[in-house]
Amino acid sequence: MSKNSIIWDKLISCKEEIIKIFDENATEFDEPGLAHFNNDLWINRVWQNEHVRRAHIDVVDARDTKGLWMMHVCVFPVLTNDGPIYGFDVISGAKKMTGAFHDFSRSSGGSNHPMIDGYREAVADFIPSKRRTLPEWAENIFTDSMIAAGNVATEEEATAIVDLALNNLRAYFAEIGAFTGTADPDKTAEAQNYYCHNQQQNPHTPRTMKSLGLNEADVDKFCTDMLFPKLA
Amino acid sequence: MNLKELTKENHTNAERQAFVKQLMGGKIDPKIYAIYLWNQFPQYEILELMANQHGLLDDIPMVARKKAIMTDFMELWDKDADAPEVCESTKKYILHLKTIMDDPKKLMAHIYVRHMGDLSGGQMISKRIPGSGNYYKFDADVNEYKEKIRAKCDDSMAEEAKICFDYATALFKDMMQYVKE
Repeated sequence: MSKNSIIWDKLISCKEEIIKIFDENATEFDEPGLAHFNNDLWINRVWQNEHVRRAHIDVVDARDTKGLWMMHVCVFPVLTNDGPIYGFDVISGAKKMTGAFHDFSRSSGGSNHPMIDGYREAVADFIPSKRRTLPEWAENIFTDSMIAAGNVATEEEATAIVDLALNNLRAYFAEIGAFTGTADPDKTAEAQNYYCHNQQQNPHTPRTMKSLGLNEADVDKFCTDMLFPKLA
Repeated sequence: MNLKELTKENHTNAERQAFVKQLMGGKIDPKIYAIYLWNQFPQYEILELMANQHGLLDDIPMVARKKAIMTDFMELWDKDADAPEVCESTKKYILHLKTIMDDPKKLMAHIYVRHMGDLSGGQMISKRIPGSGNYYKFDADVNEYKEKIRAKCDDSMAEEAKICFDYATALFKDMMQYVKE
C-alpha cells in the first residue's frame, strides 16, 4: 500500500515532536517487560522525571499492511502530584483520521484542578455545543471538554488537532512541576488506578490493535500491563 | 541562554519550597495566606514605586499589583485584629531594593521575577488560594503583558534576578513558621 498521505505525514511529524518534548523534559528509561512490545510494526517508549512517573508513547505503524497508523500517548504524574493525566490517541487511514481523542483527565486534584481549567480554556473552540454521548467507562474519567473527533479528513482540521495536542503537552510539562508535593500518594494512586480501570473497560482498544495485525495474546497482555498499568 | 535558563536553578529552588506546596495544594488557611499577602504588599509597593520613577511600567501600568494585593488582604484579614508581623526576609528585601533604586536594569530584573511570575505560575496559584484572588487577575491578556515585560529584559539582568528569586525563597521559608504540618 502507498504511504503517501498528508495526514500520515502530519501525524508522524507529531510523533517526532512528542518524542522531542519528552526528551527535553524527561529521561527515557527501560521499563521491565516493555521490550517485548517493540518490533518492526510496534514502538513503545517511556520517559520519567521528578514530576512525571510515566510518559508513554505507543505507535503501531500498519500503513503497509492494513493502511492504518495508530498512536497512543499517556502521561501520569508522580503520586505526590495531584495534577491531571494527559492523554492523546489517534488512529488514521491515509485519507482521514478515523478517531482522535485528547483530554486532561482528573487525578487526585479533581475535575477543577487549575491545569484542567487551563486545558478547558485551550480547547474551548474545539468542543461542539452538542456533546456526543460517551460510554460509561469514558464518562467516568474524561472531562466535559474531552476532544473526541472522527472522520478528520481535511489537512486544516488535522493540523488543528495535532497542534492543540502538542501545545497542551508543552503546557503540561511546564505546569505539572508546580503541583509536586501537593497530594496524598494513596489518593493519587487510587485516582490513577480508577483511570486505568476504566480505560481497560474500553473494548475498542484491544479490538483495534488486533485488527492492525498485532498478536492477540500480546495485545491482551499489553492493554492490561503496559497501556494502562494499575499501581500495586 | 536566555534569562529564564540563566535563572532556572534559583527559580526551581523557590518553587520547591514547602510553602509553595501549601499555596498550590488548595488547602491553605485564609489567615496564613493573608499574612503572606501582608508581606508581599510592602515588597510590591516599594518595587513598583521605584520602577515607576524610571518609567519601567509606563506602557503596562495595570501590571502593578500593589492595590490588588491589599484588596485581597483586606478581604481575608479580620478588620478588628492587629496587623500581622512583617517577616525578616521582607524587611531585608526592602533594604535591598533601596540599594538598587537608581539602577533601572536591576529593578527590571525584579519586575521580571515578580510580575512575570504572577502572570505565569501565579495563574495556577490563583485557582487554589482563598478569597477573590485579585492579585493574579489582570485586565488584559496575560501573554501580552508577558511579551512586554520580556521585551524590557536581557541576559545582563540574570544575577539580580537570582537575588530576587532567593528573597522569594526566603519569604517562603519564613512563612512556614505559621503552617502547622
